[in-house]
Amino acid sequence: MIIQHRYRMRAGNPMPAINDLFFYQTFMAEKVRVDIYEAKRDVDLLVTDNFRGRGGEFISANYTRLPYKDTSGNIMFSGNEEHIPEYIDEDDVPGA
Amino acid sequence: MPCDCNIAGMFDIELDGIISASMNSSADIRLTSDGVILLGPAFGTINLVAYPYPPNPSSNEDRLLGVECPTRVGASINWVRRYDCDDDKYYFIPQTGGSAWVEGDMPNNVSFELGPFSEYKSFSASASSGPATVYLDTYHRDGFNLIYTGRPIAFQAGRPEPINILSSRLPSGIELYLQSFSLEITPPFSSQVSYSFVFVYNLP
Repeated sequence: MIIQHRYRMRAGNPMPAINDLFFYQTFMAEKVRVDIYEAKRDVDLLVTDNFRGRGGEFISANYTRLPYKDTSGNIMFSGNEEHIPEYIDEDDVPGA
Repeated sequence: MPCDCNIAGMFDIELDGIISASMNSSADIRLTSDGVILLGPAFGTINLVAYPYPPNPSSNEDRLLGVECPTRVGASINWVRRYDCDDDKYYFIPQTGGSAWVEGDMPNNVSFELGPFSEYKSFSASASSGPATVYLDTYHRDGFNLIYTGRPIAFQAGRPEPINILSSRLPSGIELYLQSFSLEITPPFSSQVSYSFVFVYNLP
């Protein structure tokens, strides 16, 4: 599994000010952990109870069936799973 | 599993006039970065070389297929390989035939479904057996979708179908898909055809 992080600034639209200047107001940032699976067993895929609406810690997941099985005969999937966003300070976004 | 040797004349291939037959295959096995071993189907090819006439020495059939000049014929058939995750199998889907060519005379049992579209002079010269060796000027014709009505396996490249041969030697259910064909006629001696098939062995 590879762990990746995705960031999203929480902000409104840029507002024009004076002398060709614009204000861009931000309200913290979202940091989303994404787990990327090269191959995951069918029995290990997330189920409904793993998602936020049912008290779980994930917001989305998608999988693609692979034309492979593991040595135990399990059907394998590649895919990624997104965790619930964590709110961080704008200055903690890499490159900000 | 021990090997088993026998004489080639006893090799049961369900067809007459086979000169040689060989099989190459390997399973698609991968290792993920997490150390999981992934096992996929085995893909392979089977190559056959055969005489395009009855092997019976008393046969009166023309062994040169009606040509007088050295002649070569080639054809390819394109297949798309697709995985069906519903039934966990790979399928070969034919594309619309393939290109074909004839260099030399047109043999009796060979024709193009479409074409020939171009015809131009070609040649073959070699002095490897001495400078007195003859060389040949021939004609090359390019067409599409070869039709071969000869032996041992007739086919129409524009209407490709899987072929069931070697059923006693291959795992059950395997179908062979012709991907290339060639015919070489060398007057005054003989002629031979070559077939190359592709196949997939899906995991049970």
